[in-house]
Amino acid sequence: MNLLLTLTLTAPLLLILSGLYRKRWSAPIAAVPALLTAALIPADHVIALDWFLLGAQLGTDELSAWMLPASALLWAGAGLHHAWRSGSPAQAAPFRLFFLLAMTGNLLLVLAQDVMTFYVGYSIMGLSAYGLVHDRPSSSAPPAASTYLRWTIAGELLLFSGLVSLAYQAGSTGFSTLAIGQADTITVLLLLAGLGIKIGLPGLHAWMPWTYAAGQAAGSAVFSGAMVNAGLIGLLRFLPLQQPGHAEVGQLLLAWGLLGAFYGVLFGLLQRTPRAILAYSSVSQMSSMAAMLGFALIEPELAPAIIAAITVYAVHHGLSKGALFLAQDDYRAGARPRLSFAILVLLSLMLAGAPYTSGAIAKTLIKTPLTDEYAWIGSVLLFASTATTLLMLRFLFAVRASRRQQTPAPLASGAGVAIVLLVCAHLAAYTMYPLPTLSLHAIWPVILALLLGFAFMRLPAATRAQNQPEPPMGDLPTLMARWLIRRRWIVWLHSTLAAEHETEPGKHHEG
Amino acid sequence: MNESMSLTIILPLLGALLAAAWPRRGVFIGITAVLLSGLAVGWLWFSLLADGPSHQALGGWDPGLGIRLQVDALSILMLSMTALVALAVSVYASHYFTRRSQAERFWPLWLLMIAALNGLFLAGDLFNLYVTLELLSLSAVALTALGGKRAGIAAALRYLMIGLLGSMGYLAGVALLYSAFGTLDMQQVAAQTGDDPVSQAALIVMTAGLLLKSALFPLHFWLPPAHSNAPAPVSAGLSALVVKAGFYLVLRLWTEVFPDTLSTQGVTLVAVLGGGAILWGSWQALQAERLKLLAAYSTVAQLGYLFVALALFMSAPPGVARELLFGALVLMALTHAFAKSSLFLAIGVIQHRAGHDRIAELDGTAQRLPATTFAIALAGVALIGLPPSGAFLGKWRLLYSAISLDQWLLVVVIGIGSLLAAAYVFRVLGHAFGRSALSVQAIHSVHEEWPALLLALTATLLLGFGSAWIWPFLEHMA
Amino acid sequence: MTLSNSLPALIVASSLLPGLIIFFLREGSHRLRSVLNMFGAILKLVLVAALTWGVFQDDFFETRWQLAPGLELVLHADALSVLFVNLSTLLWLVTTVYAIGYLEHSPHRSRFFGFFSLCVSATVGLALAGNMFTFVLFYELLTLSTYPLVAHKGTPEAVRGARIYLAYTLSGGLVLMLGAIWLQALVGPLEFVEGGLLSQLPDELHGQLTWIFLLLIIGLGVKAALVPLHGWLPQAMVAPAPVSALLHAVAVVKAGAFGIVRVVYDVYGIEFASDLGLLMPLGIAAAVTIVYGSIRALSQDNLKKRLAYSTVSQVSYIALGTAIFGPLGTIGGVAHLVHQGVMKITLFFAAGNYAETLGVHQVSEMNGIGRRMPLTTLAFTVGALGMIGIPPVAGFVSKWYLGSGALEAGVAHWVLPVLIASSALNAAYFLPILQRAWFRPAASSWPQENIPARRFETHASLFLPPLVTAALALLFGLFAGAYWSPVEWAGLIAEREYLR
Repeated sequence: MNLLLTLTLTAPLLLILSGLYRKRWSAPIAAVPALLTAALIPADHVIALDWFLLGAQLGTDELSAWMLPASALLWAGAGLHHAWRSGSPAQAAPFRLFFLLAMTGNLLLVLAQDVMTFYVGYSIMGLSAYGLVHDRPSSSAPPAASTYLRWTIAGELLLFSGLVSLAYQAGSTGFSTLAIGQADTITVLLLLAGLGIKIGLPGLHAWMPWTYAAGQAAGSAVFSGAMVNAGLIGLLRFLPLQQPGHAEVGQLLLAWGLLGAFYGVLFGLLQRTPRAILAYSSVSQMSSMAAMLGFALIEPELAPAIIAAITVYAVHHGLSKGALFLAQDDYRAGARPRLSFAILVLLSLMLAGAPYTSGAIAKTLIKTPLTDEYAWIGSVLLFASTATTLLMLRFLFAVRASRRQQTPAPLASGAGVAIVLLVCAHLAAYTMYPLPTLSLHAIWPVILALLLGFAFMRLPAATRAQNQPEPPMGDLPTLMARWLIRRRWIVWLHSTLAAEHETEPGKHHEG
Repeated sequence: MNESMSLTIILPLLGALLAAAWPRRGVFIGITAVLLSGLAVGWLWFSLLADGPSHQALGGWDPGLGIRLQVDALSILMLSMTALVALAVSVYASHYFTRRSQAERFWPLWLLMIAALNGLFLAGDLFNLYVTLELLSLSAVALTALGGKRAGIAAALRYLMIGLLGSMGYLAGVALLYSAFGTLDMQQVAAQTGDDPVSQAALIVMTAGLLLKSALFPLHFWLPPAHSNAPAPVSAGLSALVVKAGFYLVLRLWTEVFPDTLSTQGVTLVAVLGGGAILWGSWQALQAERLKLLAAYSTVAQLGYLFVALALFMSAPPGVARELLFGALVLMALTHAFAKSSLFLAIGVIQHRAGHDRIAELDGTAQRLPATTFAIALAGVALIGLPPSGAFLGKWRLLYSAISLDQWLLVVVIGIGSLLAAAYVFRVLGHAFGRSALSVQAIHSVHEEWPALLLALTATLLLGFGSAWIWPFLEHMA
Repeated sequence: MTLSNSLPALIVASSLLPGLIIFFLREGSHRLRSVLNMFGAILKLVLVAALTWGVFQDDFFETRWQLAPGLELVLHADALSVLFVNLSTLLWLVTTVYAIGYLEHSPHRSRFFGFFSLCVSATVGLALAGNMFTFVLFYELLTLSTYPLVAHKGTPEAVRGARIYLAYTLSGGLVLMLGAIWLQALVGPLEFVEGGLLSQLPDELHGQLTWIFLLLIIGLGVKAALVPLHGWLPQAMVAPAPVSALLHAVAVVKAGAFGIVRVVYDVYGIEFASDLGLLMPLGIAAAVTIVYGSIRALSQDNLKKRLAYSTVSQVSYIALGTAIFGPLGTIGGVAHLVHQGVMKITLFFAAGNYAETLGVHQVSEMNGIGRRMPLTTLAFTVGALGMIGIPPVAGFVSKWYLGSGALEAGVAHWVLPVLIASSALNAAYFLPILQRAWFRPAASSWPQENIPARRFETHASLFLPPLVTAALALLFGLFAGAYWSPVEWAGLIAEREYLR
């Protein structure tokens, strides 16, 4: 069993070291041991490796028992999609290299049972993913990749300081002791900011649309599924969810998350690029989960139920979002656009929380722990579902438009991958909550959104402002950054720092 | 024992006479005489270790008027220094002179100088000291003039005047002492000196005369032209040995003859002058455009260190630290002798090969002469006072005493002096690494380069790592 | 002559003697010179291994040689010195291999390798120094033996750089020497003792002790490149690449940092230094240096100069760790002594490879270099990521301990921001290089392609050393918990410093 665990983490590395990563099938194969681990190893199997890092603990607990299958599926699925879609094997080799590295990091952080191992995995994943964004030498990839890298580094540094401080206050790096230790507010805020970048809390999300829109669909799929969930795993593990005394932070997070749920939709509606719209949908969805985490901080005794709900929600969201990216790619360039579009519609309904879908179960679960005092949160989340449905509607329209723009060059289609992910999301949800009874409640936000959308389409074209320039991806933070770099003092500072470039006397050639 | 003492004087003296008589055999006679007197010093070592310090009345006259020789730890160290440096310089000189007339005049004078030095280090009475001092001056002046150039002659003449002036001062002091105490034997005089005006007057005129001879700032003005215009072996001898004679005498007088006469002001004055010498000498060395001038000014600075050390020694309270400082002082004097003679010989090699000693044009030369450049580097390290040289140990003790006595100004002066020394040494060494246009073909010449190298190695490795015995030796053999 | 009183001397001699012999070799006898070099390096490695094992078991190793009364040359092995000796020995071996390849066709090789060996001997002597006097002695010897290496190329820039180097380091040496002498005048010849000895001194001496501390730190700070004493370091990068590598990773800069560790722990004692209020100013000086060096590195287009400013910044992590009171900070600082060494030497090796193989000296010329020289660039990447503090490269572990130490000492409110700012700046000047190297298309031709790509991207003796050191940097991070890792050894040191 330990061999399997080891193989899970080393398989991608072995493929890299042996040079086999140049083969196109290496990407899905690397995830096979992870799938086996997810299937075979029971929860609560932890091994201690004293010589690794600063004494590492690896294995599965309740959270990773959920997250590992989801991640493994996403990596395997995205890898499969990539294997089908990529042209010549050599050309896509760099992508696979970074894909495998990021996979290692992601699986490591999922299996980590101590702070440092988690951070190592998180960091490897975050940096290697740069190669997924900066995939093709197109015009949009380098700026997107740079944006991604800046935010990622910032997030990792914030997380680092938060984790150092957390581990110090707990007196140990093992997860089992973190729950007992007392974290102060600054630590919690640092963790929140660091991980908030990864899950795209509003204000910290600017990199997300850029990143999701650049690179291959397989990359975006793991970004939006596996990697975003990494941030959530971090929050679930490190926030003092079961300890009293963090109500203020909880309220902050609650407000921030609820704001984000609508913020993401609002700016997503203004986008035309399908993948950017999906990114904004992620902002909205992850914010809803963050809001519930905030609620857990306010009411620590309800935390276990909330954690369980968020776990299911995250698995559902990760799998369906990943599937959306793959299916969108199938639709755009695949051989069977109709099938792909049908899958897209189905997936959109899942995200919207249509009855009997995994989305409905997730949304039900997440509202269950709400006390009377906080019942209004449930209503807000219902409206958020409406908003999401609207956004997905916008997405479907945008997708159709994108098909029309492209010259169809049908390739072998991997629609099957999306279907598998879709089914698995439901399997996961039904394991947790077998009988969805709230069918009627779940339908009306969808209907409301459809009506709104219909009404919008009826509006005169001028009012719909279809031809107005869209806001840049990353909206407000991006605009702010653009405003800032035009300020005189920033320009001055920049030129002062860079002054030596100009005065540098030519090139020093040496013997 | 007695024979060995007089032999160290008689052998070089005899050599000088023979060399004058058979000028063509000058090299052979010279080297033999230096070697033999060196062996006599070795013999003296054995006797000293066996019997302890002793003295000898030459010719059987009583102490007081007669010639009295004495040997102790300090003098034997000085004798050894003289013997080793003289040997190395003699080997170098054996091939140095291109004109036969120069060579023929060099050897008698050189041997005479060694005899005078040995006599000075062994003399036990004040008048004898005067005689050897005068002899030393005259032979040194004659050697300086050997180069035959106009500047050299002028410098030699000035050197002669200064030498005479200094000797007169010393002689006046001797006369005062003799008229007051009726004896010239150092031990007998020492027993009677005190805080009285006669002693003080004698001390002042004698010290002044000797300071002039040993070129303590600001009485150093004659030294740079004299040392820098003499032929290389002569410069080496002058800078390494002859100036030490003056210092040695001041040391003897202060510590043995006038221990009670010396006033604090006098000591302070010498310390101040020493500090001035360090700064001024180093600064001038840094400004020098020619290697020999640089080396000469460096001597001025190094004498400053010795006098500062002497002043600190005189003002230190009795105790272990004082004894340690004395050893350090001797070690610094020894290190300087070896280092400076090495430097001058190395400069001689460069001058011979390059035809000049202008620092700015050294690039190619330094690379063609790796061994000589290495010698300059090692000598330079010793002059700066860096490890692994004896001067490092000496300077450590010197600073230790200065700090213990709260003489912070001296600490600063010594520090600045060291940095200036580093600046002038590496100003030269930088050229060893400069890229030269000439094709670089290393030259190796054993008899020309090795004396300098061996002297430099003595100053650094030998005295740096193997000099711990000096302290107990000085203590037990005083 | 038993092993316990001769081993330290033998370790110094194992590089000193080959070095001295090399001086006298003819320029043309390449093979003999290489054999001597490698023999010395490997012999030293074996001796050091024996020493390490002994010290691990708490055996006693000491060589004494009296130079003058009260001035003894003491070579003594304790946990801290063993760490530094191991680092120097290991990296010397690697650098020797590299230098043999690097200087294959250049003149003055006997001179170069002679001084190279002297430089390492001085470093090892300094590491093993058992008292202040011995330390100062080797500190000055290190200055002297490095000068010819910096000036080696003989260009006007090289001579100028060497002169500036010398001016700084000799002044620093003098100040250090004054401090050491003053200390000796106060308390007698002082041996390094774990935990320090000065705390027993009466209160009225504390004022003087503070001044002495200042002198010692200024003297050491010149070599450790503490701002504003760092001016020589960017100038000294004119040296040949192996020299820069050794200078920045092991010899000179590290000697200063090591000295600071020695003074704080084994002369003053960390607790006494803390009581005197000396740690805070030291920590602030280190923090200023860390940030300043990184900011200056941002704007350098010359690769080696950028690396030099990076050294200014990174070496002060060691001083920072020293200034943080508590075992965790100690571990962070001491472990970084090794971590920074292996990472920075990798970077300089790689920079040397670029220059030697393709004539690339500027960052702006590095577009697409990763495809032309993948192995070198891989090593460079590992080193750069380690500098930023990205796991699992070793630099991350030091930073983790420094951060934890800051929390332990209650100074996290300013130390953590400094660490974060430094990492961010490191990322800002290293990541663009990596981006150029791996992701941008290469220019049509390289500035000066000296070594064509055949089977390998360049000579084996050039690309193997950085790979080895990069692997070390990775291993030291990945297996930080293993008993042989620098972190564990630093833990042993911290244990001995705080418990005695």
